[in-house]
Amino acid sequence: MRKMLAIFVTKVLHKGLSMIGKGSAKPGEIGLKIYRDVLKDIKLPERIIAVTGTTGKTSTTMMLNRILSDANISIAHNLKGSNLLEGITTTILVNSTLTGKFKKDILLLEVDERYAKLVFKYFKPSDMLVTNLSRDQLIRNTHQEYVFEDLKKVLDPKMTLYLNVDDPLTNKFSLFHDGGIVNLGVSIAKLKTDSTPEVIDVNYCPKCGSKLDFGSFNYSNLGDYKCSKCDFERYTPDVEVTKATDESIWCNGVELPFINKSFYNIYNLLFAYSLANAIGVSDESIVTSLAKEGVQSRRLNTFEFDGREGVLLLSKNETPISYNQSIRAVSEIIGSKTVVLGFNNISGRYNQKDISWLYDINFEGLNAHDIKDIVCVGRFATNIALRLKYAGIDEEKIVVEKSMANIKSILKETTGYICGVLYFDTYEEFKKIIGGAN
Amino acid sequence: MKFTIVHLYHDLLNLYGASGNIKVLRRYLENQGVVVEVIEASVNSDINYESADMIYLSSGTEESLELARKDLLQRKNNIITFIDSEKFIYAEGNSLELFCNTVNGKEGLALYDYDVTYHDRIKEEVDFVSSLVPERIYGFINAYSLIEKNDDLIEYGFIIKNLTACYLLGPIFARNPHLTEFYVKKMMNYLDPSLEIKNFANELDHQAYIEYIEILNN
Repeated sequence: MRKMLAIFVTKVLHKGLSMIGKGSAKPGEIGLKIYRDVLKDIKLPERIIAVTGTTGKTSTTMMLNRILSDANISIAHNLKGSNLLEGITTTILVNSTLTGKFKKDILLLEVDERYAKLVFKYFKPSDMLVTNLSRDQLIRNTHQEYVFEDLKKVLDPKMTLYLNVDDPLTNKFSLFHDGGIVNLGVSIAKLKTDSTPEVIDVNYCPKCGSKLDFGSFNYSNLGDYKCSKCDFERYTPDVEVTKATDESIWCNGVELPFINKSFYNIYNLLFAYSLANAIGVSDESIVTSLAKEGVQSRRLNTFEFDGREGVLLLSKNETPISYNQSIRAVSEIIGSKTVVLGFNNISGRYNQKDISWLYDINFEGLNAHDIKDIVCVGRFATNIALRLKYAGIDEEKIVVEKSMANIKSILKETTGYICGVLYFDTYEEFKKIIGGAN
Repeated sequence: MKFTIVHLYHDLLNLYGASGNIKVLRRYLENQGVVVEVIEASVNSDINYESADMIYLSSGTEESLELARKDLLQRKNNIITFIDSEKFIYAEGNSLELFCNTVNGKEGLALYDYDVTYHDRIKEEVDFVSSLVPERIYGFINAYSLIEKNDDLIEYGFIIKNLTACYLLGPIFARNPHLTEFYVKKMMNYLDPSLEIKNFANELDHQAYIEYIEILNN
């Protein structure tokens, strides 16, 4: 009876609250209040796909949803950004009958890496995709090993794991998992670098504790490595990206459209392709879906201001693996430029103000002759400026402006291409003031 | 004049922007006309303790801390001599625990009489007054333990000669310019007591400190 009531109320609330944009997490929250263990009593499909990891969850899930839907597979997903227990409960109950039978053939879930152990308390995914694990929101997550231990609790011998083998910490799951493993990796020679990142999360072998020897890096921690003593290494990928151009990437020889040209998007495509391929979707169908407008998210938006061109890069605070990609993108833009950095809040979800993470970001990458000015905006502008000072950047180049309202007049005093490296809050403000990105 | 900093376990204990502290110390000392050499060292590294002036350790995951603990035990006599020579050690975050009698039941260096026992994780932004400078010190704690010698008193760290061990982690020398000035003065005095301290040229650091407090209070 409680099960039926929980499902009924969740469905009704979902219908009502969706009209005001609050239908994702709240209905599930109320449903769980009615019956805490409701997920235990839902008859779920055999194929439950979980996408988790530090970065790439949303993009990979979006691509998978498009590919599977286009292949006429009946699918339910939590694409509204609700990747915690409540949002996932909403997705499951809304797609179930009142008697608790799930109505779709596949359940596709983007799952927060810290909440996976709660979500999968009563059922296990058949396929779990771990995109990568690295330091991220340390106040919330404690540290990356802690997240690893949380995710390890979800493992089940019947589950197939899709692992980013370029990431030693993700690869560590292979030491503990008795079920199937599909290793995914990127081996594009022209993108590899020998220069060691500012911070490497895993320097020592998770199997024997000896030093890992890194041959090269793709970006951040991701690269080619081998234990100096035992057999732990970047295992040969089962599915591998071997080539990339401005238009395409080649995944096990299959050419896929490469629309969001950020390097991290290669991994998203790799994961989406691998899972879809394993389910049996044809290469032709996958390619068609991935080429559709809006399927490959664009965190990169161009704009024009005062006769100058610019680009906006949405950058996640507290997540070096993500933020460093924006720094790298800025440094790869040729010609003189002005950079705008900033945020008003560190987290969109938590009221925390610790700024230690700024020192894990490679701002040293902005210490270049062609960067003429760096404008620090938002409440933390002075603390960002301080970080730039210790990145060796000439203080004469640094402009501190806490209010985005003045950004137009400040930018008029600068020259060159404009690169905005902004968090969600300042990103939206910037777009509003400058006139919107293309 | 030269000051040599050994960044010990740089590849193991490196959570929370640890390298920021090295960058800040380097800049402050260089502004005083000191040539700073930073040597990265880790498990099994040969360290020239004679030529080193400071050893810096930061915080790490429990697995990393355990690797560091095993290695540091091999260096116990060197560390004791280092401290007795009035040289500097700064241990931030959970690397503090390595200097205690035991770390959650495992042998520590036993230079500080305390047995670290892990409880629930403590993760919080903190500020406190220390015996070192009058200004409040701001930072963050992420640890399984604090020093609780009795029920009424929680301590964030300890000092033995020029060894400072503090649970506060992250780039604390960037965030707390008064504390940094205090240590740099001590370091200059250690190098040559007759030296006059020049302007620290750290106005931006002080401004950031003030504005951070404003953010905290709003």
